[in-house]
Amino acid sequence: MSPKLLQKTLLGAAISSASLSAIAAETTFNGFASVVGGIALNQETLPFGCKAMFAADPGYIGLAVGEPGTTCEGDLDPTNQAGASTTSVNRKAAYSDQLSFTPDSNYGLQIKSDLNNGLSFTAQLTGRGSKDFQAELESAYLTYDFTPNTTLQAGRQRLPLYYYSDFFDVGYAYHWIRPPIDVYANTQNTFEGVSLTQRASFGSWSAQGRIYTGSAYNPLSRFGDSSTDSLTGGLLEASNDYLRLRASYVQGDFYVRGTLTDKSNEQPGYFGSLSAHLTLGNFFALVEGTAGGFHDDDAYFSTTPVTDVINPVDPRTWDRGMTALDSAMISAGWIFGDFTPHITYSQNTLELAIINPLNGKPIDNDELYVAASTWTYGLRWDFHPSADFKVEYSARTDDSGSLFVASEGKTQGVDVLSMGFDVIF
Amino acid sequence: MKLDKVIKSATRSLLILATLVAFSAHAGIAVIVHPSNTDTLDRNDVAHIFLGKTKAFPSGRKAVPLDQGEDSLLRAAFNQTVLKKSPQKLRSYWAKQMFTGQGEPPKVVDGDAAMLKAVAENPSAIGYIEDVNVDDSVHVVYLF
Repeated sequence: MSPKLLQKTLLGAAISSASLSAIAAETTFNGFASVVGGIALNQETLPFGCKAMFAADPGYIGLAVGEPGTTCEGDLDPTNQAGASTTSVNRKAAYSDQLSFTPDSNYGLQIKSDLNNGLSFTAQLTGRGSKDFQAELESAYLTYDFTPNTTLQAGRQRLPLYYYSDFFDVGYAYHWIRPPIDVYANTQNTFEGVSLTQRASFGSWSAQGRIYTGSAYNPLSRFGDSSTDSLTGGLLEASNDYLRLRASYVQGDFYVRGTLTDKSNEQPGYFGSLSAHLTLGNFFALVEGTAGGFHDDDAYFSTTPVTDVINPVDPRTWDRGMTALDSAMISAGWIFGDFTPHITYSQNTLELAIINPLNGKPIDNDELYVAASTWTYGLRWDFHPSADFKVEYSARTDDSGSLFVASEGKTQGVDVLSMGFDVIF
Repeated sequence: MKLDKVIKSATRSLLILATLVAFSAHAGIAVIVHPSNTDTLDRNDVAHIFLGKTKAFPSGRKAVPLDQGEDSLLRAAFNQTVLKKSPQKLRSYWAKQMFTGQGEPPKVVDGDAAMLKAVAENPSAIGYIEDVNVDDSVHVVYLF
């Protein structure tokens, strides 16, 4: 079923079920909004006269010029070395040397209807600056409690890849302006399908396990118009008063439309993450690491339009793609009354490949990867019970391989200063 | 005139302190459930239910937590002693939980009389009141 049709069907079902049991159903509304402005500083200069931009919203950045990870600001739409033009970046999702309010600003409304007898319906409408603040259905699902601690959810739901996945859009819920983009970089954030959650308690620990299956889709991802079919995943969480541990794993068949790895050539891949959050009085710390790749050593997904002509004797025209992605971060903060200063170190590495046109396999090269490391310093001020003000500086260093830098430049080398408000209502 | 203000403010602070001390010294808080509920709960069990981490009593029976009013001293003592979360942490906790669609804060019942009635009527309910107000329409599972 197409995403739009599913959207309409779910909304229709929600409205009709809500109106049928209008007397019995109890509906609650909760909302959030963030207004953030930012500006890029210390931008690295790239080939073609571009300057590196800071891709603050990697979920909606669109396929970047040339290789993924290249965000280029300039008067001309640069072309790749073979002369074929490539799609330009969604500039509303990135910061440049002009102050911008679009990459991190958003709003959302969650509607929850308790339909009694363990059944409820939840929907979230979200509008993002990177998509012109148009309200879109971020999630819409039915929840059914088989037993008080066994829950089935069906519909469009958030993909629980990361520690903050479940409330990623709600700035008020975490200390940064945005969770570090080095880690929070997977760009399929929701899936359509079913999930089953089981909760349990053991002494001071409470735990939950979740399994899910479905499919995911994002036409504006930084990998291109990408989808994952036969998505299957699981999640295990355990927490007590001080510690929260989380392990997440998902696999599926990944493809990018309009490339050599489109639907007819899906690539089975996986993505896993481990995280731990510690609270000790007014001190807290979060550690998170992720690893994503393909089961097959020769697998990759392409980032080159299939219309580009491949010349077997000119490697510059060969297909390019990505083979693996891993990241890690550590973040710590202290709560001093209404103020929370925090500091974070994060890094990620995206392994790239050039594909041999004779056998369709990636050519091993140690110097072909995009990597970045970032130090983030910020302060959160809780000046109101339901609002906060944040200021944050991220200093990002490009650690990419020499072969990549030689052709694309230090695309990750850009700092950003941002500040703004979050509110919940 | 300044001395006047100092005395006034000091007296007020002492009064508040005295009330709190008196409250904690003499008033116990009783966590109550429906009389048909014979489960035994420890602090962790109560905390897990009120934080939405479990939606059932240890026996498997559905648990519906009921909170006292937001400004209630009883609720402040409950949050501090049983949930072990400061007001800011609790607010932040529920802000996250609400938007995951997986949980919402307990419903609010204002005052001990209303709480007694609500718990006595609902086999799934769990709430808390001052222990001096406990009667035999409810069963006490935890005291602090």
